[in-house]
Amino acid sequence: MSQLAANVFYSFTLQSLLATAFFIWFRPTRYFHATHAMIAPLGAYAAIYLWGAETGWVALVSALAGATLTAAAMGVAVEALYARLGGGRDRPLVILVVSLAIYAIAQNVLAIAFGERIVRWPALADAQAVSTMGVELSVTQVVAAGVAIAAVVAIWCWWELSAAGRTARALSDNPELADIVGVDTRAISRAFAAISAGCAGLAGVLIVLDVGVTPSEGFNLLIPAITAVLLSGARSISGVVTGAALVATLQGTTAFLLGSKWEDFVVYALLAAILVARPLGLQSNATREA
Amino acid sequence: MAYWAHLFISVAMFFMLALGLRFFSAKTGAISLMHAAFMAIGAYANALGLSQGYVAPFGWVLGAGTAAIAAFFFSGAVFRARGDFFAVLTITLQLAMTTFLMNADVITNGPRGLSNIPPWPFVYGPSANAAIVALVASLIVATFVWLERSLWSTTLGAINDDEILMESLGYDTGSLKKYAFTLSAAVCGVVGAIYAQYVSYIDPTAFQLAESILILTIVVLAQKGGLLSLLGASVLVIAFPEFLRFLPSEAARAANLREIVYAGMLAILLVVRHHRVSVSRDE
Repeated sequence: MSQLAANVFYSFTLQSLLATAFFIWFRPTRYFHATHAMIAPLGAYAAIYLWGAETGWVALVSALAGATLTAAAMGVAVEALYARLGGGRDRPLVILVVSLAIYAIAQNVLAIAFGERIVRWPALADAQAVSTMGVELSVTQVVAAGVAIAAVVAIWCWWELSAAGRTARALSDNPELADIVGVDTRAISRAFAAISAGCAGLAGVLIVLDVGVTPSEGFNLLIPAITAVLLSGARSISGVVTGAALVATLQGTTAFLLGSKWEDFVVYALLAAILVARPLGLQSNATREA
Repeated sequence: MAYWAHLFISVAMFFMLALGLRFFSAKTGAISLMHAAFMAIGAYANALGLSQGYVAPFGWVLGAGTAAIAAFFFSGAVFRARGDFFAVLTITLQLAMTTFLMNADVITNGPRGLSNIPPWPFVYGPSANAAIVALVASLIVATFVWLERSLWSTTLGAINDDEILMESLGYDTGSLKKYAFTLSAAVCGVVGAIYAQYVSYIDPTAFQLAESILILTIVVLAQKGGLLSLLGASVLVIAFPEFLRFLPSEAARAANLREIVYAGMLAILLVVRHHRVSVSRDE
C-alpha cells in the first residue's frame, strides 16, 4: 500500500507541473488548445536529440535547461500565431482546431525523425534505487519529483508574490481593464506562453527519463492536466495542484483495482463528466460567450 | 485497377463522413471531433453482427442504428456544452472510445482487432466493391439533398442563426439539434460498417482522433461550397497525399507525410480565413 501511495505521489508531482503549465496559459486567455500535447513530447525529444548519447548529472541538467528553452521558444511562436487570428465569437474554436492541426504536424514530424516506438532516456540509470519504509523509488523518479515540485513552487511564487505575477493575474481577471490602464498585454501574453510551454517541455524531459514517450503521447499527458485544472475551478495554482492530486489518486486507485490500462479511460470519463456537469468549466465567474 | 478502385472507395467513404459532419456543423454551428468514434461503433457492430450470422445489408443497418443510438445517448450530455467546450468534450469522448476499444478485449479483441470479417456477398473484385460504395454514397447524397429542402433543415438553420428567438417561438431546439447529431452519426455508422467488410479486418487504430481531424479538414476545406466542393476537398485530402507513396524511399513515411500535409492545409486555411474575416470586420 505504501508503494502504491509513493507511485501516486510521483505521478501527482509530474501531473501538477503539466497542469500548472496548462493553467497559466488557460487562465488569462480562457481558450482551450492542444499546444501542450505537442510541446511536452517535443521537450522530451529535444533532450534526447541534444543529449541522448550521454548520461550523468551534467547531461541531465543541460537537457532540462535546453528542453525548457526550446519548448518556451516554441510556445512564443505558437502564441504569436494565435494572436494573429484576431477576435470574434468563434476565435476560441478556431484556436482549438489550429492547435490540433499543429499537434498533428508535430506528432508526425517526430514520428518521422524518431520513429513511433516508445523512447526512454535513462540518464541516471547507473544510480542506485532509493529504498525507505518499504517504498522503493529509482533515483530518476526522486529527481523528477523534486524538479517538478521545485518548478511548481517557483511558478506559484512568481504568480502569487511577485509584481510580475500580480500584473499577470490582473490580466487574467480583466484583460480589457488591464489594457486600458496601460499594461502591455501582448508582452504579458508572450511571457505566459513562454513560461507555460517551458514547464510543459520540462515535464516532457522528466517523463522521458522514467516511463518514456512516443510521438502520439501528447493527449495522454494533456487530458489529465486539463481535468485537474477544470476540477479545481481554474482559479489558483494551489487549486490546480489539489486537482492534480485528485486525478493522480483516481488513476492510482483505478490501476490498483482494474489494471493500469484503464487509468486513462477513467480520466477521460471524469473530464467528460465535468464538462457535462459544468458546461463552461468550473470557473466561478465564467461569462465568456460560447 | 485495384489501386484506383481502392482510392475511389477511400475518397467515397471520407466524402460520406464529411457530408454527415458538414450537415451537423452547418446546421448547429458546433464542431464534433468524435465522428471517427461513431464510425468505429458502426464497424464493430457490423463485424460482431456478421460473426453472429447476419447478412451484409442488415449489418449496415445494425452499424447505422448502433451509432445512432450511441449518438442520441451522448447528445443528451454533449449539448450541455457549447463552442470550444463542446469540441473538447467530443475530443474527450473520442479518446475514451479509442481507449475502450483498445482495452475491452472481451468485446473488441483489444489492439489485435477483429479479423476474417466476411466480405459483401455476391460482390467480387475491386470494381464491384467500388460500385457498391458508389451506390451507398449516392443514396446518402440523395438523402441529404432531400433533407436540405426539408422544414427540419430550415428550422435548424434558423436555430443556428438565433436560437433564443426560435426557443421563444416554441421550438424544442435541443431535440432538433440532437436529431441532427444522431443522423450525422448514423452516416458514420454506415461508413464504418462498409469499411469493416471492405478491409475484412478492423482494429482501434483505424478510428482515432487523427481520423476525426481528417474528416473535419475536408469540411473546412470545402468551406460553404456545394456537394462538388465537398467531393473536391475529399479528393484533395485523401487522394492527393496518396501520391506521396510514389516518392523514392518515402514509402514507410507516407502515412506521416500525408497527415502533415492535411494538418498543414487545415492550419493554413483556418489562419488565413479567420485573419481575413477579422481584418474585414475591423475595417
